[in-house]
Amino acid sequence: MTLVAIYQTLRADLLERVRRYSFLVVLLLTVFIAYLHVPPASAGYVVMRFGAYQGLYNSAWIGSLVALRTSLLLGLLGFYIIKDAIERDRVTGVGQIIATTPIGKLSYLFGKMLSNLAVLLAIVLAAIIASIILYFLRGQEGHLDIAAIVMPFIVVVVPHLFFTASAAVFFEVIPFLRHSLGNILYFIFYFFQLQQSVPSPGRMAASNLFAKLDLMGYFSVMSRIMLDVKNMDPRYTYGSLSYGIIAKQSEAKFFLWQGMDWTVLLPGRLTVIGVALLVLLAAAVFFDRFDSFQAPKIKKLRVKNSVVQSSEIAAAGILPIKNLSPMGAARLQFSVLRLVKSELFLMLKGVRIMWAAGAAGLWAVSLICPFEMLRQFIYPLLWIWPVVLWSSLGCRENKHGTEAMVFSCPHFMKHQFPAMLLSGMLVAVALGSGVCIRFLAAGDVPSLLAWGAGILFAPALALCLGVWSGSSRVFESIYLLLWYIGPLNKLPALDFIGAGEASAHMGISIYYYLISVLLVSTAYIGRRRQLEN
Amino acid sequence: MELLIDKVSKRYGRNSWGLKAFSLKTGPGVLGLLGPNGAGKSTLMRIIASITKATEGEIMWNGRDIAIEPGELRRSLGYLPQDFGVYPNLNAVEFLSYMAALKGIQGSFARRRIDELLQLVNLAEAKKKPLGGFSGGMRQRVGIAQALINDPKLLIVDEPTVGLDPEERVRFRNLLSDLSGERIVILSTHIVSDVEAIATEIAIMSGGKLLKHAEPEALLKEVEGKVWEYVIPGSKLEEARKRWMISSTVRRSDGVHLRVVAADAPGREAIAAAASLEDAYLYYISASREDEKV
Repeated sequence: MTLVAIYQTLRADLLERVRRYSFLVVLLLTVFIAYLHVPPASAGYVVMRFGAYQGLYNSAWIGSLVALRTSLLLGLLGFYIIKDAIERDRVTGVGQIIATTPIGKLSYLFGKMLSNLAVLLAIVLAAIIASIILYFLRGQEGHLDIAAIVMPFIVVVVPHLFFTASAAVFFEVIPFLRHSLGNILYFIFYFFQLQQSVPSPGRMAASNLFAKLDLMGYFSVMSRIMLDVKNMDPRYTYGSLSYGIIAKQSEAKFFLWQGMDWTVLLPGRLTVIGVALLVLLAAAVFFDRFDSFQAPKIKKLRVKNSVVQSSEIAAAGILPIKNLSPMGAARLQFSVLRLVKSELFLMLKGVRIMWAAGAAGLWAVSLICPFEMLRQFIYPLLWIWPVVLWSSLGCRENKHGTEAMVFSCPHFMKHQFPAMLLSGMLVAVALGSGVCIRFLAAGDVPSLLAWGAGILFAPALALCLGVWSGSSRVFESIYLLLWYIGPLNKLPALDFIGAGEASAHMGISIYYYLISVLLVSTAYIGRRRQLEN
Repeated sequence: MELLIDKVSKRYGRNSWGLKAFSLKTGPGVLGLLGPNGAGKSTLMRIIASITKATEGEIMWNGRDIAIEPGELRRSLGYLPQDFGVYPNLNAVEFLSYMAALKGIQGSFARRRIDELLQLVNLAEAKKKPLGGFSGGMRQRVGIAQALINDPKLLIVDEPTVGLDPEERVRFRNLLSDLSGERIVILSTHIVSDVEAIATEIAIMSGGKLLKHAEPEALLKEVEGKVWEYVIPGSKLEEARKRWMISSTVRRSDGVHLRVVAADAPGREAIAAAASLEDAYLYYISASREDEKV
């Protein structure tokens, strides 16, 4: 009975999700990134280089390279695309039916975890096929060795995806982790563990907990390749590694890497699966089985106070229809400003006091802190703080099921569309006004221009992705990634607010104005399409 | 004030039609749209509400094509969809204020109108409570209030009584009836009694097609003399179901009392009965199914 139930849960969920656009987008992105990660020798960039050394394209190198990237990519984007399996049952009401069936909490969650895993494995399969094709396109050495390509996926990627699938279930079960806050916390967790797993001489001598556990498999594989390079060339220093898409500064020395004995990693990888199961077990402990009245105490009190039954209001006075004030055409007065006010109200309603206090604190600090601190931390933080507000742009109607009522309003595109964008921009202006004052006082025009680009770009991206995906998660995941690499780590090309002085003065902002215009236009087309469909 | 639906069709996919060459003309009053689930009622409602575009045909609102000039219709439109949500963190006043802003209603008038509407739908006492805590019936009443906020000339309500308790249902039916004097109200439902009480015209739909559009009296006239009450032994019930269209069965000590819709009396003991709208509805639906079989 339980096995059948788990299988049916898995099957229904998997079919539902692989038929979505978001699945197709991540699938194509994975294949595209695999393609980017095996560039031809003539390309102007490198992807993985150990000091001066780069592996020859044989089956082992291509397999490991693509497997590592797939693990890193699906650990983040994969989490966001699978994190709605339980929420959907909750929203559609199917959960209440499930709650009345004999299926146990753990069985249900196990089915959801397997379904999450199956979605991710379908993408992994595409990455494996892409690796094989890439071997034929770019292979430099040896013959096609399927095992050498597939083994890193099985040993490195699959256990990590077990963890990702379980973490998604856990985040859906815990009420405060279900929505935007959970998405942000997972993002922080992901990058923290990634940073802690980067092999360095110190960590290779005495690794920390994250490196030891090595959820992504990154530390194990990288440190193993580093050892092999060291054995080949004793002058190589541990930790010297370039990973990512990096401009080629000099020609690489090629070396032949024959892969590794993947079975050596098995105990560690099985431990990762064990941790994933523990996370799932913890989720089962907290799972409310769709009983909304088991939510945390604060929520419970709110529901209790607010649920008003008909009997309580039966005695209320009822106005006869004839007493309703009639409305002539003169009573219609469209105003974008009034709509902006309404949109802002809608956006800010329900904001927690802690969020508001944090925003006020950041704003105050932005006025008085040293310039270096402002650029390094405060300015980027001011552009991550409102992400939960921006993420509702363009998808609020879909999320709450108000499309039919809202879309049937007169001049909807002419008024509501700009009102949404303006409300998002106003939030950015309010939070970033302190930074603006500082740049004005310093007479730093390029930084002011970059600030303006940030005001436009973030809500434009939110609106565009919200409209086209119908969900806040796509924006949250992509924006967080951009923000981390750009404003926080100051990679000039992605620093859309000009947090780094260098990027602000390079004039990158002009591109972000253009991109923003493109995003708003795309959002407009998407909104029209929503209306027409 | 006139709504003209001219040969409107909606195609889903390559060969699946949700609506096929639907034509109808109506004026002030309540038009009841009756049909089984999947008849195409909601598709038609969405097209009239200018949310969905028709694949073929056109809809004219006071002589203007709504596909070309949707703004003209939307200014006069109140729409209560079959499935809709609300913003859970807002209370009823805030939600209705937002909808009023979207519909371009002047602030001071909107506030007065919201107060009146909340009294009308019996939510005045709960107007400051978050909508997230509302019961299904209360949310439905918020939906009704938002549909009426702009004093619409065309009011479209799709399955409006779902989730309402019997008392609220009667009140809502009366409300629609009172509203209908100077406007067009289109009420879609599969509950015949909802329509019977208030509709001035009835359109029966099935399989995306209009089967009949007439006043209730004319529909009843069609089945006059075709409704029979007939008592049979319980053991013959299955056989009877195969032979006749039965609109109701009641088990009594003397056997099963059937209400049969048929051109000829089902037996010598059958007694002619007064036709109801439900009998007429079943008659047309059943006749269309017979036609499809042929």
